[in-house]
Amino acid sequence: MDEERVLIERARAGDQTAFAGLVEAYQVPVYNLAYRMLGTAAEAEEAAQETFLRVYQRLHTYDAELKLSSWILAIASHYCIDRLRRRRLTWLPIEELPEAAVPAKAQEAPEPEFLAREKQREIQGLLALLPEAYRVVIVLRYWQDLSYEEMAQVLGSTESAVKSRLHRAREMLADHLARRQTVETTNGLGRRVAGHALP
Amino acid sequence: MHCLELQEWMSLKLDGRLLAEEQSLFEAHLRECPACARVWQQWQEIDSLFAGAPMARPPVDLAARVLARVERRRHRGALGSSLLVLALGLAVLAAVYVLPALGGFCLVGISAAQTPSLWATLVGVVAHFLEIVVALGEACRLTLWAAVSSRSILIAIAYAILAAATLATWLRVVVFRVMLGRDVAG
Repeated sequence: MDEERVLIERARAGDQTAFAGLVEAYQVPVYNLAYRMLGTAAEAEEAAQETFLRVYQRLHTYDAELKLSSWILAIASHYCIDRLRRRRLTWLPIEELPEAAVPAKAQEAPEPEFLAREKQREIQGLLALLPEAYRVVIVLRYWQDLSYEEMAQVLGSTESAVKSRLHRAREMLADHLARRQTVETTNGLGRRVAGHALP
Repeated sequence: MHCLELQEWMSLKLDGRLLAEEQSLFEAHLRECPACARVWQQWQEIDSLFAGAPMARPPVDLAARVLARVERRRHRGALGSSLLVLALGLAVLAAVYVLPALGGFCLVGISAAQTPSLWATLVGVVAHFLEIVVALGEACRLTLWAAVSSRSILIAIAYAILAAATLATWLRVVVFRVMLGRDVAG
C-alpha cells in the first residue's frame, strides 16, 4: 500500500494530520487551477479551500481505481466552472495580480519582475477570453500536463470532446493574437505615416 | 493537402499526436503555403506562452486555513446533533409535565362549561383549581411525613443521589460538549 493510500485511509478514519498531508500534497495544483480559471488570488483561495472541504466530505466516496489527483482536480474544475457560470462576467483587475503568481526568480530584480507580471497579465487576459469549458482544458493541458484521456476523466467527458475543445480554445487564442498583431501593425504604420506628414 | 485540413491538425501537432506520415504532410504544406505558416506561427506563440507559465503559488497558510474550516464544520455537525438531543430531552420533559397539566385543565374546563351561568363557571374553575392545589399540598405533606417518619427516607436519599448523578452525566456528555464545541468553533 503506497503512502498516498495510507493517508487516504487515515483521513477517512478522521485523522486530521493525514488529511493535512493530502492538502499539502495537492494545494499547488488546486490553487493554480483555481487561479487560472477565476483570475484573482482571493477567489482562487476561496475556491481552493472549498475544493478541499468537498474532498474531506466526499472522501468516503473516492474510488481508488481513479487517480487521486484526477479526482481532486475534477472537484476543483467543476467548482470553478460553476462559479464562472454564476458570475458570467470575467475580468481581471490589473492591480490585484497576486505576488504569489509571479515566480520567485522574477522578484530578484525590478525589470524581470515587471516582465513576469506583464506575462502573467497577458496569460490571464487571454484565458479570460475563453468560455469556461475551453479555459479548463487549456489549464489542465498546460499546467497539469494531462493527456486527453486524463482530461476526459477529470471533466467527465470524452476524449474526442476534449480534443475538440482544446483545438477550439487554441484557435480562439491564435485568432485573437492575429487580430492584435494586425491592429498593432496598422497603428505603427499610421504613426509612421503621420510622422512623415509633419513639416 | 487543404489549408483547412492542416489547421484541423495544428492542435494535434502541438500535442505530438500526429502520425509520422501526417507530420510530413503537415510540414510539406507549411513550406508551400505562407498563409498557413503565418497561422501556425501564431499557434506556436500561444503554445510557448502557456507552456512557459509558472504555477501560481498558494498562500503559505492555505492548508492551515482549510483544516480550520474542516474543524469548524465538524463542530457545527456535533453541535447540531447535541442540540437535537437537548431538544428531544426537553420535548420528553414537556410531555411528562405539561400534558397531564393540560389534561387536568381541560377536564376542569369541561365540567365548568356544563354549569349554566358565567359566575358559576368561574367559581367552579377556581374551586377545582383550589381543590387541585389542596390535593397536591396534602400529597406533599404525606410524602414528607412518610419520608421523615420511616425507613423510606433512605430510598428518597438514594433516589436523589441517582438523579443528581444522572444530571451530572448528562451535563458532562451533552451540554459541556456543546459549549466546548462552540468555543473551539468560535
